[in-house]
Amino acid sequence: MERALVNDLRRVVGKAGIVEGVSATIPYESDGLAMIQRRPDLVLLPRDTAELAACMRLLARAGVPIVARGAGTGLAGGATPVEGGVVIGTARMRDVLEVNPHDRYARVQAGVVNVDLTRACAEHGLYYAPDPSSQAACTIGGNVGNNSGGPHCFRHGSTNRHVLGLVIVTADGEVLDLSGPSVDPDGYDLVSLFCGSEGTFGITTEVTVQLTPAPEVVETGLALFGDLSSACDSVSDMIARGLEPSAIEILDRLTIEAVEQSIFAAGYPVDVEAVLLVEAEGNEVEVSTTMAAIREILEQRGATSIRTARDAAERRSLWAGRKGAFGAMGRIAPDLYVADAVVPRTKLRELVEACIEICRERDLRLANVFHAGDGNLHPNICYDRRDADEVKRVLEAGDAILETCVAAGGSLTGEHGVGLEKRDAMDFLFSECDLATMTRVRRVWDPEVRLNPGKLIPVRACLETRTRPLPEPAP
Amino acid sequence: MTDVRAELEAALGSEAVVGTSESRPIVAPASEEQAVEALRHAAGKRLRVRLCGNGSLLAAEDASDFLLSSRRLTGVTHYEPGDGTLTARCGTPWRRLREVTLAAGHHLSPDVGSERATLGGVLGAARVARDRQRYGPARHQVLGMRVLLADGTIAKSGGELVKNVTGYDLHRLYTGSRGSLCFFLQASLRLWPSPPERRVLTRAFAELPAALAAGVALGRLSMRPETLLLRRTSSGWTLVVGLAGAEPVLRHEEQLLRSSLEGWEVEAQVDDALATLRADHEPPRPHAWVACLPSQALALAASLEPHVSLIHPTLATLLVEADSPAALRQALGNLESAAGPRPTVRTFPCSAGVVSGSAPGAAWMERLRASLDPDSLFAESVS
Repeated sequence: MERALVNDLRRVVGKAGIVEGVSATIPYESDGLAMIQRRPDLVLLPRDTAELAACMRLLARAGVPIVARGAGTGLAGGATPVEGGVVIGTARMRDVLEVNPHDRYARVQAGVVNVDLTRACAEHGLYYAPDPSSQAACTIGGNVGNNSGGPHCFRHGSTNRHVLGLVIVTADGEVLDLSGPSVDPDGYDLVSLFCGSEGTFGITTEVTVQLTPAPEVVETGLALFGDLSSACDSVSDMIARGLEPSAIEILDRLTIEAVEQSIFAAGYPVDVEAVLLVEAEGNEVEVSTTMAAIREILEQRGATSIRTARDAAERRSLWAGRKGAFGAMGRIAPDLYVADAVVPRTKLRELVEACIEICRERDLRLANVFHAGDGNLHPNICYDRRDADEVKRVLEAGDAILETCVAAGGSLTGEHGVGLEKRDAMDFLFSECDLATMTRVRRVWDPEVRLNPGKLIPVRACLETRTRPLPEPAP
Repeated sequence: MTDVRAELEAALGSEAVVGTSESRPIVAPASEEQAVEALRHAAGKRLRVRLCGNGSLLAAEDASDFLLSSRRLTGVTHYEPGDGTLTARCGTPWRRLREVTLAAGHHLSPDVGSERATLGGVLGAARVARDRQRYGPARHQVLGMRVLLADGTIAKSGGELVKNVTGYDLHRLYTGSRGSLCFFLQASLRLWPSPPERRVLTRAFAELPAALAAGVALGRLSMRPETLLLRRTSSGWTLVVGLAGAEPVLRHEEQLLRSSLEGWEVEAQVDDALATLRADHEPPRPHAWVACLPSQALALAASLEPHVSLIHPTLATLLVEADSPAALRQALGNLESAAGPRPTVRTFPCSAGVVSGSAPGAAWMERLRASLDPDSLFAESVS
C-alpha cells in the first residue's frame, strides 16, 4: 500500500487507530473460520462515524478493497481479509450513546459488545433480546452485518426484528443517517435490507435498537434423553402443538462431555445421549401453562428426567454451559468446523441423523449443539487443521451436510452468514437469476465491489444473467 | 385506451384482460409465463404498468397505461402445519389463507379483514392490522418471495424457514414497496399458533391524554395482548385490549388489567369485536399511518386533530383519516413542524410514490428502484 495513503489514513485515525506490520496484523488474519487466513495490508480502527467516513473516502479514491470487522467472532469467514485490502474494525467504537427507557430504545456505536448493551439498560428493567452464543465478545455492528440470532431468537426473533435504525457509511464515504427510530420505515425498508448484508453494502457505525422488558418470570427446564432422536422428536411435537417457550436447545453426548470437562461445566449428566434445555418466560400463569404442556410432551417422548432450575444462579449455569459449548470443544480437538444449516422443524430427527451418518462415513467426530426450536442445526466437526486429509474430509462433510439439508427444504445458514465459507454453496439454493438480482442490489451500494469482495455471492454470478431478455423498445 | 386494450388482448389473449379500472385495462395473467409476456409487451410498446393485487388500495390518479393484477395467480403451493410456514401465489385472497391456516391451528398475521385483499396486496402495502402489538409488522411475517422484475427476470430471495440468513433479505425490501420494484408472484409466510381463546375488553375515556397514558401503562404489564389500541368514539376514546391464549392465561391477564385500571367492559361477541377492529384498520376514506416515538404520540395526535381515528399507544402508530386526498395532505402537513425524530408516514390509497417528502436515504431508494426497473416501467421515481 502506498505510503502517502497510509500517512493520510494515520492523520485521520491517529496512531492508536492504525495497525500495520506483519506481527501486529496477525490477529486480523481470520475471524472464527480459522481454516482460511489472509493477512491484511493494514487495519484501521476509527473512533467514530466521521473518522470512518474519512477513511472510506481516502480508500475509495485509491480503489482499495475494504473488509469490515466487529469482534472477529463470525464463523463463516465474513471478516476474512482480502488480497491487497484494508480491514476496518469497530473495536474503538464502544460508546453507548443513548438509553431511552421511556421509548424503549438504545443508540450505540457499532463496536459495543452485545452483552454490554444489556448491562447498560438493565437498571431500567430492559434488555437487548438477540443473544448469540458469543454475546460476551461479539459486537452489535457485527450482529447487524450477519443478522445474528441466538437461543432466545426462537421467541424474540433475530437481529433485524430489533433494529430500529442505523447510521451507515457507504463505499464512497457518504454518511447515511437512518437512525430513526421508528417501527415503520419511511419508504423502502433500507434498515432491514442492510441487516445481514455482511459488510457488502457499507459499514454500520451506529445502531438504534429496540429494548425488551425483562420478563416477570423465567423458568428453565433440563430434560435428559437416552437417545438424540427422541429429543428431536419432542421439539417437533412442541412446534406442532403451538407452544411458545422462549428457547429450545439440544446438546448431544459429545458436546455434554466437552462442556462438563471445561470451565463452562453446568452440571449436565454425562451418561445421557442428549439434554434438552427449554425456557419459558412471561407472567406466572403463562409460564406455568407452557411448561406443563412441555413437560407432558417430554414425558411422552421418553425423557428420563426433567428438572427445573431452582434459582437464577442455576439458570445462568445451565445457559453458560450451552453458550460455552463451542469453546469447550477445544477439549475434543484443536479445531472446530461449525456448520449452521436450517431445516424444517418437522424434519429435525431425520436431518440430525443424516449429519451423524455423513460424519461417520468420513470418520469424523461430530458434536451436535443446536437451536432446535428454530430448526437451526449446528453440526460441529472436531478436527485438527494440521492433518490435511482430515481437513479435506471436513470440507466434504460440510458440503454434504448443506446439500442434504437444502434437499430436505432447508437452507445454508440460520445465523452465521454466508461469508466465504458458504459462498459457493449458494448455488445449492439460488439460481443464476436469483444471484444476479442480489448482485444488482449489491452494486447499487458498491458499484466497484470493493466492500468485502468475494464474499456472499459466487463471483461468476456478477454477470447479471437474465432469464429471458426483453426486446428492444419500439422506436 | 381502446388501442392499449386491443393490443393487450392480441398479445396475451382476451381472457387475460379482465376488466378496467379508472379507464385502464386490467391484465390478470393466469401464469408466470403470461405475466412475463405482459411485461415484454409493455416494454416493447413503452407502456407504463401499475402493479396490484385486486387493486383495492390503488389511487385513482395514476399515469399508468394498464394494471397488472395477480388476482388469477392463486393457490397455496406449500403448507407445512408442523413447521408453521406457508407459501402461496400472491393473488390468493388473504381471507382464503386465513381459512386454510385457521383450520390447521394457525393464526395468520397481519389480521386483515378486507374481502378483496390478496397476499401480494397485503405485503406490497405492508398493511397494519389489529394484531400488530403481538406479532409485529407485515415485513416480519415474510420469509421469502418469488418476484418478476421489469426486465422479465424471475428471482427469489429467502425461503420457507422461520430462521434463515442466506443471501440478502430482498423480500423485506419488496414488502411495503407498493408495486414500485417488482411484481409479486409467490410469498412464504411465518404462521403463529392460533390462540385457543380470545377476549376483548374495552374501557372508555373522555380525553385523549388520559387514554394514551393508560394505554402506555398497560403496555408495561407482564402480558402479550394481540391488540392494544385507542379508538376514537363519539364521546371520546376507547381503550381496546385483545387478549389471546389459554383460558387460565386470559383469566390472569384480565385480572392484571382490572387491578391496573377499573371500568373495563368485556365484549360479549368476540368475533364481532374482532371484525370491527379489522374494519377500523381499513377505512374506506383516504388515510395514513403515522409512526413516531411513544413520547411524541400525544403531541402529534394533537397536531393532527380531528383526523386521528386510531392509536397504537406502545407502538406509537396513529391512523389519520380525511375526506379527500387533499384534506389528508393538508392534515399531514402539520407533521413537518413536529419536534423530535421525524415521524414516518404511509398514505392510502397507494399512489406510485413510495416515499413521503425528503426521507433519509431517498436518493439510495431511487437508485435501488432504478436498478431493478431501469426503464421506469412501474414508477417514475420513489417520491
